[in-house]
Amino acid sequence: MPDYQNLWTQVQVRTAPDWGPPIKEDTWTRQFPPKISYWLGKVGDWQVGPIYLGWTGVASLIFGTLAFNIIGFNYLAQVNWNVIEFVRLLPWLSLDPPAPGYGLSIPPMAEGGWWLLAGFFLTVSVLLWWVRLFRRARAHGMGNHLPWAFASAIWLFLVLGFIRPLLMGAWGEAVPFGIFSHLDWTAAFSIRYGNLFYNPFHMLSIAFLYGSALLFAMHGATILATAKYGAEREIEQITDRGTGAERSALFWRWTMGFNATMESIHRWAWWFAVLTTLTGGIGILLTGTVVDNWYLWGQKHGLVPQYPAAWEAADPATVPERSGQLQMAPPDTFPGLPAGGAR
Amino acid sequence: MSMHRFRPGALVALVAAVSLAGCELPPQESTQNGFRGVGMQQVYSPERLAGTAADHQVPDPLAPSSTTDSSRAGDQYQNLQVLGHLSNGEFVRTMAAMTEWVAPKTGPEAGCVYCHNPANMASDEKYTYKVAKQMLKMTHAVNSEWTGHVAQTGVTCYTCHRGNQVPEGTWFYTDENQSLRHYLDREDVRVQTDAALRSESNNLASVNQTEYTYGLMISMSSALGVNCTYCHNSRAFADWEQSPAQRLTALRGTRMVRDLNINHMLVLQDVWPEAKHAKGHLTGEGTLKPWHVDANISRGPLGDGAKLQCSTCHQGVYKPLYGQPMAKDYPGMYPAPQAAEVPMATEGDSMPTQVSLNP
Amino acid sequence: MAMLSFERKYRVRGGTLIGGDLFDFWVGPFYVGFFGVTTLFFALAGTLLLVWGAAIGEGLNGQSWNLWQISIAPPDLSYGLGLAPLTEGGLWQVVTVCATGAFLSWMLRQVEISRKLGMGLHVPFAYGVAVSAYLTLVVVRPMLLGAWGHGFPYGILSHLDWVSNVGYQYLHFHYNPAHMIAITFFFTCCLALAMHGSLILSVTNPKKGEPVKTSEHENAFFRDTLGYSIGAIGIHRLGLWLALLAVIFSDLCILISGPFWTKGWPEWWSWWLNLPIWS
Repeated sequence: MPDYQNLWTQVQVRTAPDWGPPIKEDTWTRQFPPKISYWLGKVGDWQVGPIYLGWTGVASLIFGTLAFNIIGFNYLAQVNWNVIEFVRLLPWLSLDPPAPGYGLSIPPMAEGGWWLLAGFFLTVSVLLWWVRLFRRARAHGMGNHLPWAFASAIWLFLVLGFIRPLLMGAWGEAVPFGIFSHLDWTAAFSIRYGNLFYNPFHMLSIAFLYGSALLFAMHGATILATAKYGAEREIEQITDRGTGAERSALFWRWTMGFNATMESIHRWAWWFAVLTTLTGGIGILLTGTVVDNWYLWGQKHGLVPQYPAAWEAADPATVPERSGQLQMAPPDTFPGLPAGGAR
Repeated sequence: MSMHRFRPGALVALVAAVSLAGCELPPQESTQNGFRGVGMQQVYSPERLAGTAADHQVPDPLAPSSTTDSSRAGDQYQNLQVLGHLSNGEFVRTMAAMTEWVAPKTGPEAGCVYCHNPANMASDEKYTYKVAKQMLKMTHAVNSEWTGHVAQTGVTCYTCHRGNQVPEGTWFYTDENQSLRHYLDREDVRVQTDAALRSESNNLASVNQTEYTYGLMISMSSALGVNCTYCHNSRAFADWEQSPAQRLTALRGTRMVRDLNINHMLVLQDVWPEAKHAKGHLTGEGTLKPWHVDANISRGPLGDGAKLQCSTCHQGVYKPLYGQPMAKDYPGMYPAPQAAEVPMATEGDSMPTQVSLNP
Repeated sequence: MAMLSFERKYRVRGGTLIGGDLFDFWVGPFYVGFFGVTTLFFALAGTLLLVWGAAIGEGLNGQSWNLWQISIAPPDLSYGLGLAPLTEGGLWQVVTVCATGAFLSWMLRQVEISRKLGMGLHVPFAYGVAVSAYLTLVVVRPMLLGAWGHGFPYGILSHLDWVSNVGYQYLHFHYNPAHMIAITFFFTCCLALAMHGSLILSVTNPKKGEPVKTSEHENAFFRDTLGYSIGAIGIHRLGLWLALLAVIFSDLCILISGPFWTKGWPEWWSWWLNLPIWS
């Protein structure tokens, strides 16, 4: 049984590489002659390239590289240009947005200005990439499903880094560029706004995210299991249903009483993936702008389960407020304070 | 060709070694401090606890001084401002104990001479003498005014010092320590809104500020060797009704630390020697230490004196020294008026042989 | 209604793992089979027990039919790996047995249907990985920690409360390395699903007036935009593995939290900072 389950390609058929159907190439041409990759061929197609960059692609890459380098050089500056420390501390390093006190103004470069610039370049890069995807889809005479799906991801990106900070009135509300720092931000965001698990759009977004994994597992497994009937040739199965499509449909019909078609499973897929970021963006956008404490919001709307009490409630009012006169003034802000300047 | 041969075995061994190094093996112990099924639990590695148990043992008390001694040390010795209420015998015993607790190691800067000028024991010319006097006042304050936090167990010099001249786990102003200012002069630790909607509140706390609160809370958890659910039901961090009683004790603790920092640590600002500055604690010098502060020094990189936090006493366990009573053996740890009421050990206070993790 | 136009010729006997011809028939669109019967038994029993638990207000301070609030909670830790009284977590234990029985029956039923249709066993295998996530949470990890009380409660919001508290047991769960990898697989899987779904929809629903495109266009589109197209069979392999690895690393991330690491996850990373290679 394990001899052929279509887990990898056992015989790689090599032909002359395919340059693709002709497209209009008057402003730009396909570049980088196709290469052969034996190991990619084990899982998928062995042909790598060509690529059509186009001016939007080139501009997008330039802006993306600029953003990437701004972030990287800020990291380097934070470790005094010590490359070893850069590698060692990489997960902890972060390019932070300006302090909330700057509001929506333009801060000095070292206090969030670089973050603003990197974010701007990254946004330009992403939007240009969207234009590129749209133009490529048109050039091939295809539908625009891919650019619109990408737009849903851009929506979440813009909500996090631009739209919500704009509504909140401070760049400081946005996400920092850093591995651990963006995770710290995520956790703090949930704590500040009273538990994001009680945000219904967060619930939906996670349901669609898990649902996407579920759908891809179901779809991928079904196609692989019926690949011996040619089910992976989905366009042909959609336009002229064969036994591969029939068996995969019947599998789910017999299992759960309902089945998609070879085309509609891709509509389910598209909507689940698109709704993940769409609902996620809505959930973030409402947080702090409309709802300030999701747990209390949930309580208001009957979501919160009441557990039997395990102890007597503590009363903080019984604790005396105790603080004496400050003997020494601490520094107002820490960053940039010269050494020895505490007094 | 001088290419290295790829050795998968070596790679596997390396990955396995790294994974095992950062790992504790079952079985673990767990306790529950909330209604079943909602994850209000503490999970402990008994192996790890056993490994550090020796660090949290109380030293044997010195032989008690005579109970019939009616002398008053203040009459015999000069310049006794804090311990004058003790008998001569108890005073000498207290001095001996403090030497054991704070400066026990041999060397030019250990023993009595760590604080005293051997030619004139009453002289306060050494800065350590002044600091020790202030610290005794602080200990008296803790044991008499903050029983809401330290209960009848109380504290001694050893609770923090553990044989070190400067206790581990003090903190200074640095970029990474901003959250610890809650132990001094910041009141903005509460960031959540007590209303559901934005329109019902004017809470301006930022996500940025919340990260300070989170950092402070993590430092507190690490100091006690517990997790967030020891004091909170995380679904509603701010809600006191859903919080275990430990949160109240912790609140008293933070108020106490603030009191001690302001009224006992900051007053020593001019006493600390300039020479003992910490180096390399500012960002950019390669010592970025997330969630961590420690230094065996008495002045920070900005020149400020050492300040206290939870870990200064707790040092990783939920009660310092696992709550073993120690102050009861040393009347010198209590101020004069209360000296007659020094709590004596009761049956239930005997030293635990097994660490109980429930409050 | 019950049958699709092409369905009759596929409805043949055989392929069962157990019971021979006994339950080898269909009800409406559903195939029954021996494991259909056991699935039905376990699912029905479990669901009715949940409803009964809701009726007596198990796990809550007072009875509630509010679907968001109903919570069937595991026993106190003090019961260890023993049985608890029905209203003190025993119900959760019985429901867990029912759920496990139903999930495994469902998987074996998928095997039978796959065999009937001459398909590979990819779907039941993938489903088995999903079941492993459930079993890791309510069986394997509680057993490693020595108490059923480490399982999660069966309730919509109560299981989220559990997730929240268990996450904060490790101070900052995002620092869990397996959790990081799992989330990365989940996000990548979602991205790949969007790309695949979009591609198939856009070639079969082309620009107005254009004919339906071919697999040449599929490949050319992703080569033009990304420089590489994984191909029709490859994307289904990739998608399946992205999804399965997301689940497998999720299993791992909760399995190590507690049994193999008891402190905060941020602290775990100190091994990296202290590697001897830095100095």
